[in-house]
Amino acid sequence: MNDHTLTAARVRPELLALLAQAAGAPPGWAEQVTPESRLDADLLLDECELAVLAQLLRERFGDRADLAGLRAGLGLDALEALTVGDLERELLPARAPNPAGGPR
Amino acid sequence: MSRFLLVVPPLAGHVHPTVGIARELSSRGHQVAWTGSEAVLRPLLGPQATVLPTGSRIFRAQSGHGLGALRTLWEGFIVPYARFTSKTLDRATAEYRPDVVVVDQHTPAGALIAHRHGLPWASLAPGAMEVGRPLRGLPKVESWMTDQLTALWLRAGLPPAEYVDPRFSPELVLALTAPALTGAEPYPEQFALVGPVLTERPADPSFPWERLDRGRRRVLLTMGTLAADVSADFHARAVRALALLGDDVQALVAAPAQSLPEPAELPPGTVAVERAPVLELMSRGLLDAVVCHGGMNTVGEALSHGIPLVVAPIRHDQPFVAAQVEAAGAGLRVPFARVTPDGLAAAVRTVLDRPAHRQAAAAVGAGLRSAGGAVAAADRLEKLAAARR
Repeated sequence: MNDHTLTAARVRPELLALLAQAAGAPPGWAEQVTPESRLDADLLLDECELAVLAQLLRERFGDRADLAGLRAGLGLDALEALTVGDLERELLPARAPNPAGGPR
Repeated sequence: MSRFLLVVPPLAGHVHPTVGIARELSSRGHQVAWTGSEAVLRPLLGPQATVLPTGSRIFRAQSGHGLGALRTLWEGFIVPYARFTSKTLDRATAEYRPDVVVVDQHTPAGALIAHRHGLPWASLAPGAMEVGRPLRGLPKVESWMTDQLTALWLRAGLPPAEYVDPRFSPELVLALTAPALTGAEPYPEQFALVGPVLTERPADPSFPWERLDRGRRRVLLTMGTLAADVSADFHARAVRALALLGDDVQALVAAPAQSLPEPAELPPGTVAVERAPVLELMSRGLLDAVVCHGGMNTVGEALSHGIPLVVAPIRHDQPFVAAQVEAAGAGLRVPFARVTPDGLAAAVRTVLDRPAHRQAAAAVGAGLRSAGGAVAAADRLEKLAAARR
């Protein structure tokens, strides 16, 4: 197991999968994603890809996973600083056993 | 006869469309002058053009991706360039005494000067960024832009109560796109979506026409004139993608030599030049697909000739343009930073092989052409001039 895999394990796999889908990313891309990865400067997601991600998050986690609402409240500095870890904290349900794996 | 003053930034992609509009105005007996950086404008406009120089200074108009690029555009170019040109623009306007000022949206100082002189002014939107408010979902970013424009207005000594957004003339906004691409989004009454202005750009005089292989389909790769800071890595992947396309496809690459691999590493038969005669290649039916960054000029020109696209958007309005192209069925969008050679080759092969993309490109192109281009732009500018007589 390399360092990338170790750090990637810190991001929830379902979020990684949605990020990769929104990014149209090739296999292996998600291995570089860490909680500290910025959506803008590190992952290079543009506004259209972020709109796709917002839709995917709502479909997967429900209306409370409102990325568009979160970003609408942020200024340029905060948007540039927004990380994958921020999404996990602000939008995803708390980590808990959820065997069904569906929206709660 | 009227006199039109065109205020343009030192950016080739913004200057080229004004050439076509100016030619049309001149052919109707009007006088046209440009004002801006003569060092940039003169090579683009030729020795006969009237250029009222504002002086030249190096600004970083574009760099990076995403929001960082937006910040650089505003803080590194739009605002300092407006400040730098303010006095000389004022002098140029006083000397030339135009009837109408045409102001590129990246040069807000032109609108402030026109307002101060009590002149009618039209906005020119060469890109898609300031046409459909694509950042409306980020109201604090929109406010951040407005705050900078308001500060420029006040710095120019204009009354706060008279403030108008210098990107949007209340009388005429000429947008070089059309509903065939933007969709049926409603626009304010003063918006005139005139479609692309097809103006040939200076080409490499040594373009090797004899090397075009009539027996193969041809794909043009062109990533614009300003993206050298980020495009070298993309070019390396794109060249590998072109090699994967096989013997029945010939690649034409328009790019600075330093951003490409060694010539020996290019696919056999590749024609690589610094600047290609893009419009001539298109109008002679010599291109079957275009891979580009989503700049409005290249996209408008390709679609106007019914050529499908693969768009790898880098920044600014390009992601939105790419989305419009894909939504219209006229091409595919791939992620500039992440697309693999395999992925890019598959996208190019798809637009080459599926007639639906070519048919959609032709339909969108017909819609863009019907918007009128330079003729429609000149019509609207004449009306604006006549209304003030």
